[in-house]
Amino acid sequence: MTSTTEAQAAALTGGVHQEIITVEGAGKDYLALDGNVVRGLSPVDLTIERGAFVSLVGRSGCGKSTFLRLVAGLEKPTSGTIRIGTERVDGPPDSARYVFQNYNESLLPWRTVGDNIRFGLRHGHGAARASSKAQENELIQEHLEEVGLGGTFNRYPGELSGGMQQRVAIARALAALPELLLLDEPFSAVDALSRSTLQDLILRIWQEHGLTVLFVTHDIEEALYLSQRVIVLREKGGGVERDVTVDIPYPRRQVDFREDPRYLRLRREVLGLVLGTE
Amino acid sequence: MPDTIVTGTEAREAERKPPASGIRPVGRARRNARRYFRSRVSGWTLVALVVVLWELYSNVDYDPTISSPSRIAETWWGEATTGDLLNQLTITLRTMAEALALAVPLGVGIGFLMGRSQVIWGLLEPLVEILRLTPATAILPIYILFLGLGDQMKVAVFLTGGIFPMIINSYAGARGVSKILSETAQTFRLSWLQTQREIALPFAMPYILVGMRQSLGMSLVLAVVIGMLAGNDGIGYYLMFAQQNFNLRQLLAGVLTVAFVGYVFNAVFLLLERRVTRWRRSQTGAA
Ligand SMILES: Nc1ncnc2c1ncn2[C@@H]1O[C@H](COP(=O)(O)OP(=O)(O)O)[C@@H](O)[C@H]1O
Ligand SMILES: [Mg+2]
Repeated sequence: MTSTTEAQAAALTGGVHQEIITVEGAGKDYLALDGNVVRGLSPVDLTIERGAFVSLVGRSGCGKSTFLRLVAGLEKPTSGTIRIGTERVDGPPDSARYVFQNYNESLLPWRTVGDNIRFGLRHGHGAARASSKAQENELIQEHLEEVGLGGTFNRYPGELSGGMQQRVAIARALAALPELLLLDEPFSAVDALSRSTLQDLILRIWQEHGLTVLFVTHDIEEALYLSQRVIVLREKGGGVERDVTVDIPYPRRQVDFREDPRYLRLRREVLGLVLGTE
Repeated sequence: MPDTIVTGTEAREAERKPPASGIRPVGRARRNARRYFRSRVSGWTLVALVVVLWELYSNVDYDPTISSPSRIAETWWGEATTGDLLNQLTITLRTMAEALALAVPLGVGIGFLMGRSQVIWGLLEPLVEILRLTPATAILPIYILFLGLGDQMKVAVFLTGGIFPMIINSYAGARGVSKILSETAQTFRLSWLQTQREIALPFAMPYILVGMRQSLGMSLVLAVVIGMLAGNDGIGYYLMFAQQNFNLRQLLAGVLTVAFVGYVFNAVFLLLERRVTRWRRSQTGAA
């Protein structure tokens, strides 16, 4: 695995502070169908530095998806504000792309894999990169190869396995050349071995593209393996419980990392927080 | 519909060989047509068996009011080559084509927009429901009164009778776009028009095609009824005329022609649907 970029190293050591996401008192109350008000997320204050890899963990229903959807502009906060760069989020921002947990419902099943990437390319900053269809096809092929799907250009998403479909969804998001990648439990529906491969894939992409990644998962080990920072949310939309820094350098390796004493200590801490025994 | 169910073999074929990148539409159309008939071999055998038994029975026990397939075929050939059958059929089909040229864009457009816009739905739903539940045949006398017996009246009847399957199915398709697909469009910042064109319309297409096929079938029924009630030309008039002259064989020849036309329309449409919604076969369950 390649080493981290300068911005990422800076984000890790806290050398340069350049926020990409600024959350000020942003919270969300939902109006449920039965007329009751449901707390999605208590007001949260936090900033995320450009180039960081940050995970959100917590029990089911703690507001992880709500937080991510607020940042993605898919949900309006009932209090506070969220800014991306200097701009206030009001609808999906141009610089972010969102990868859904249900990849099989988010890909366009009537389009081939290649044409799904074309969708991402045309609806994003990637649009200007190609001046001809042939050039566009080349770019698409590159995006597919990056996620290890070189030979699937003309296949339909329905013909691919779950893990492969999620790769398509990631490649489609990347084709729009975002600065910020938002992923909501992207690997929770794939088998354990594919998950490890996908984890390493997302780390490689993060580093090579100099992206900022906000990653929601209920899997604490996954969050620690991937992230520089793990934000633990309190249950029932209770807001931020603790902001944990994972001070373990990259490249990380699946097997070694899980024996690292620093990892074991952090896992114990975060697990205790999530289970409420600490 | 047996046509849209993924068979084990098909799924396995899809697994094994990726689709060729070179598209040869002609080869594919022929292959689809061949598969269409091959998958229905037993059904056609059954039809042939009924015809043969009928033929045998009418030779054993002669009944002048029932006639036999071979004699009906003879009459049909005579009617088709020297008689009025094909002329009247052409008249009917032309009127149908005129009406559908109007009804398809109108029906699909109205249904689709009703499914995509709450405002348009609110505006049109009562009108559509009232008209939909009024039988076209009940309005026919009014049309005849105001529009006479010409093409205008017939197009109007086709329109009121045949448009609703398209409205209803297009509406259902447009309504069915999932939250995740809509949000995918949002996160990629598609405009309203782009969302309709790239997300909603392709999603609704299988439904729209089903609506068009149903409309086609309904139009054929109406074509016959209009001809009978208006009684000036068309295949309905032809049937009426045969019946009034007690020409049973001519009548049956006419009926079989209508049945044949209906079957061909349906088959062509099923093949079309199959091509347009090829992707659906890669999805288990959704098909
Ligand atoms: N659209 C909605 N309407 C009503 N309540 C919702 C809605 N979305 C989420 N909630 C509620 O908000 C809380 C947080 O949900 P969510 O953010 O999905 O949690 P998580 O992703 O951590 O499992 C839950 O109690 C959930 O029931
Ligand atoms: Mg969630």
